[in-house]
Amino acid sequence: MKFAAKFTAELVTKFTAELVTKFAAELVTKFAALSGARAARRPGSGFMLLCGLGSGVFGMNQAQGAACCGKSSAAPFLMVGDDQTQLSLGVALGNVVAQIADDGVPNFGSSQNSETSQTYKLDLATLLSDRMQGGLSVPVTTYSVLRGGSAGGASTGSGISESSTGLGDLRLSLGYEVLPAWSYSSWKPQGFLFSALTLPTGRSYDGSSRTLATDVTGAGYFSWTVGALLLKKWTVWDAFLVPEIHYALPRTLWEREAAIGGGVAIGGDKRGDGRGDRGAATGPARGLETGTALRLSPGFGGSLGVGFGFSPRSGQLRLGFRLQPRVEQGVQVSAPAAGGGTLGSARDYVTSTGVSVATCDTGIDVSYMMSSVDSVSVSYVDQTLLGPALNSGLSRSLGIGFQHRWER
Amino acid sequence: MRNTLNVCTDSILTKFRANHQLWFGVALALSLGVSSVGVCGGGLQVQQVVQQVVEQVKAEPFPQLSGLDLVRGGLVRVKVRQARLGTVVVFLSMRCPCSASHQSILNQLSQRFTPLGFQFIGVHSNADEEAVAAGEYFRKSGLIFPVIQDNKSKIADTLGAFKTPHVFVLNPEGEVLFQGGVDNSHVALAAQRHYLRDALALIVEGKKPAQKEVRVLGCEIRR
Repeated sequence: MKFAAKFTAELVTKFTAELVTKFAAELVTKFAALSGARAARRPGSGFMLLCGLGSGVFGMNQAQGAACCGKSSAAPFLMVGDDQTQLSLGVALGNVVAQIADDGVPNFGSSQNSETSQTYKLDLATLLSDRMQGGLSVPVTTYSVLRGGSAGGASTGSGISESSTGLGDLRLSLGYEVLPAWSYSSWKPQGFLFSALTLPTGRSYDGSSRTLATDVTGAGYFSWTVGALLLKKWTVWDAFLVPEIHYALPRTLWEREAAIGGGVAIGGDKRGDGRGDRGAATGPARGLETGTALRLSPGFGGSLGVGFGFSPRSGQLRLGFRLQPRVEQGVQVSAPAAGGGTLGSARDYVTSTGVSVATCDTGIDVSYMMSSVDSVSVSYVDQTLLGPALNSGLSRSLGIGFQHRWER
Repeated sequence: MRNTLNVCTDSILTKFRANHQLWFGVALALSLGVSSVGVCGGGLQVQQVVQQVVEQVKAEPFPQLSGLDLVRGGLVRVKVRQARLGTVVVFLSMRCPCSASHQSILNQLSQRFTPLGFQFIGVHSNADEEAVAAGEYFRKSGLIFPVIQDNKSKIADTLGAFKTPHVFVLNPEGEVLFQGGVDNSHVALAAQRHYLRDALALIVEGKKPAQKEVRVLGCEIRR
């Protein structure tokens, strides 16, 4: 009996001692690990990565805008962090390096032609309520086109060089945080629904007065976009998904307007990018009779942005990669049948539909948090790397942006 | 021996909640082993330990709030049943300015509501903040309630704490009555809506908080 009691006591002592020792060892190990060298964490950097994601989304807008201007199909500028207001200023330099026809074969062109753009963009987003936000985007674009001249200089005797600057299409947006991140989850993403209205404040092709249409800075249509943004971050990784669809409202083009455009790009002037495809002319614009009208129906388009990012040591730097394929319906052009007439009458119409447009953006982003409220980002987007690509100019662009946030 | 047994029990409880199945197996095996020994007439003391573990696991609701107190040192174990009206658990950081700006208001709330039946407990879960440095910081912080060092962010994971300062108000049964930010601003002095204060005031009146969950502002907890 005594032996059994002694054995039990020993067992308890040993068991207890083991547990205490293990607990103490865990503490020591943890303390030692925590005392090791690690990245200094700036005050407020806990929400840095979310802001970094915002930079990525911003970069997506900006760099894509570089390819053309005032792009209407991408996600609007959204605040994904817990901020009151967010302002972004950026410039994107784009260069159209290839044209791809409806057969899907790219033509990288000659060195004697060049088409470049500089898009300056101001994006503003502010809270309207705890989960609702409103935004405004204002692009200003400078286009430079050289046809048949020397590659990087002034026009030659037979070449034409042209450059213009103008306001692009303004965009108003609303965003609602449908899936707020109010508590920790290892899988549940943060989610937004957004809607945006693009106003045709830029000059469209039919209003162009320049030979090479460098003054074209807008699509010429009202466009309505709806979409969602889902994003999730883990310790050093993050990922996002941005599906969106948009619809450009039909527009009636009277004979006088159409004649100015000369029918050059009426059929192709609908990529959701504000400029359309120079030289991708379709549509029966020429030879309209006085008093006749065209009805242009751009229809639907959509895109799916997907990307991920990495923040080394959860620090201030974020490296991101993204893809965004997008498609646009061909523009449907309706004109009165031979003999003239006006839209809305009982006369017969001739309708033709342009070729659909498809491109795929491949982008990389680098963003850096300078402080808890300021960040800079650099984005590179290339449309020549991945398909599908159809009936479009393909560009490479570099965007640089600065963001400032006002906290709640 | 009694103290040793308590430490042992606490440790088992903590680990039990962290990994139910494993420790249930350990407890079961121990019980069987002890029963065998008990047949020989010597397993009474161990059986008591096991019984104590089982009873405490049954009695104490989630979450298990125990660990090293970074403010006063030593181990601390908070029982949510001890507070008549509830327990306020607030996750804090030593580097987050948002967390720091709310420490004063948290002290004030603790002074006001502790006599009314609440207990306040801070939790430090950031894996990228050295525990030694955090201890030094919180000792100098002037906080009047304990701050538990949450190793491996177990408490944060159990409650779903996201940022600092993230507040949870638990009733004595361990149910979350309110969770979210202390108020609606990163800076306490700029706040216009005082979520925690209003929630506690309503609970004192015997009502439920107007909002069970609100947005939490601050710095994300690094796990």
